[in-house]
Amino acid sequence: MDLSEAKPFNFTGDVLATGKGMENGHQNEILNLLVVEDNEDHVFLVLKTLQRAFSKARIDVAKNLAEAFVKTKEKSYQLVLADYNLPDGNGLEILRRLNREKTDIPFVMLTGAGDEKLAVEAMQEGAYDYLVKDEFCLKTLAKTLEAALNKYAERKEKERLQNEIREKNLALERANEELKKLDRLKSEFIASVSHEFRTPLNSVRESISMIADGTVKPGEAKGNRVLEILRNNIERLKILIEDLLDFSKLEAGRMKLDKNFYDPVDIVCEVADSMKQIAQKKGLILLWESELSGVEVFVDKGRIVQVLMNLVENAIKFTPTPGQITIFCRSENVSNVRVSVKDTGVGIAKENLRRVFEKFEQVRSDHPGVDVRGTGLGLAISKQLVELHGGTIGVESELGKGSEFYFTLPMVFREEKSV
Amino acid sequence: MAKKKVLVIEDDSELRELIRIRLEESDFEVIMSSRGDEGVEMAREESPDAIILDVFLPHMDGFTALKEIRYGEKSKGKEPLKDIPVFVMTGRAPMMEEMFRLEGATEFMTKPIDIKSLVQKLEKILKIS
Repeated sequence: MDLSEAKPFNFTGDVLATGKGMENGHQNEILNLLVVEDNEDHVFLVLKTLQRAFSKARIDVAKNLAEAFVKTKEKSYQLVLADYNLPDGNGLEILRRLNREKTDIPFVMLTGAGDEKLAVEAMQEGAYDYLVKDEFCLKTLAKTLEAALNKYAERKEKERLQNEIREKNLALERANEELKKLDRLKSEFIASVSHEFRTPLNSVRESISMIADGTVKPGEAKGNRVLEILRNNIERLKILIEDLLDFSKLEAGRMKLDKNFYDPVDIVCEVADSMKQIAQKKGLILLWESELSGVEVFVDKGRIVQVLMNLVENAIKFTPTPGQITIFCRSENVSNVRVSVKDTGVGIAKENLRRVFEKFEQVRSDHPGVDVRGTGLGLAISKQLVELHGGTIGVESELGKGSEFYFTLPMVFREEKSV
Repeated sequence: MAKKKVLVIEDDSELRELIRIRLEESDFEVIMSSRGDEGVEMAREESPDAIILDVFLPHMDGFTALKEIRYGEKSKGKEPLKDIPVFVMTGRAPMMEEMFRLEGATEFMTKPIDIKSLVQKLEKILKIS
């Protein structure tokens, strides 16, 4: 060993004493440190000092650049202490490689006395600190490393906080976008609503004006027809207002259900009876079948009747004469009742199936015998009402082959109820 | 004098019926369609004297229908109907007026429209009475 090289590190009792009882916050955690130094004496002194200062440290030693590269690849260190002069190059290469790999760990440079220029270079490239090998070097070694570790911890904390702020900003931006979108949808909704009102309102206005100016006379055929149109459109406006109120209640989550136990077959039978005449008037047959017995549902009857009526009304609207509409009532599985309305109508094109339950997505049709005039809200309301009851709503259909709309409701067994 | 012929393109059957009654009472001949594409065909085939056109229509919207009427399809050997009066009525988006005017709408009306005054405008433009 060339002793002259080791000269600045002359061992004195003093030096080792400095490390003793060192106060630092890293004493209790396991620290993986890498020391890159080819001079064995220096390694020995550094190790002794560090072991005293950092009782929980695991210190690896690399004797040259090549070894250091292998070690930093195999293991993640909390700190690297490297000599500038190494047999196969200079210690800064380690820092450069770490930077290239975007590995941010504290790097402290050891330089010989009089090489402060190198130290400045190291700091410029991102070293956390440097030490000049001289008599005082070991006294400050532990403190310097401690400071580097603290600097690293602070830097990480700052990064973490910055990321947190960035994430919160992103979340706020997203929330803001969502609100803007809802606002836009609301404006579109209002525009669509006004449109839905305007056509029936036009018919009401015109009917009255024709009767008022004597263009047609009530009691005569044309006059009576105009009165019928007037009544139909006032009814349409009434339904539109009711639908809008229901819809806004559902959207705001303010729809209250008045639930009780009912036999689903009774509900189906009641709706079928009340709709039979309307179907017959159009020349359609309305039938119902049930495979259920001993089963009840816990529902707001008025609302379930509303849903089923809506499905049957739609079926009547979209089924040309001659045609048939059948309401089926059966168990979907052990826990659900399934009520479906099947028609022999015009059906729905595949590309429109997904949209039928969306508001104002009325599927327009000019099929002979089909006159579609609704509020465009019926199915959107039905969907929300069924879901509010814990059920699901859906449709199976093919263009020209009829449609089958269905909904499910959780079932209750009579015995279960009496317990 | 032969009756003037008006084509009504409107998908609401009852409003369509009311317009028809009004027009017939004023001695017009009325032909009707509930969809845009069919309406354009009728405009070409039946040579009406004026057209009343709704905007929100199935199969072809009123705006496309208006452009078809004004510039469409020379290739089929049919002349575009540059001069026929087209009265556009809509319940939606009055801000579309500019757009329709540019494409040659004679009149742009927002529902609920006064059909009686529409008929009077028709009579004036077709120089009846």
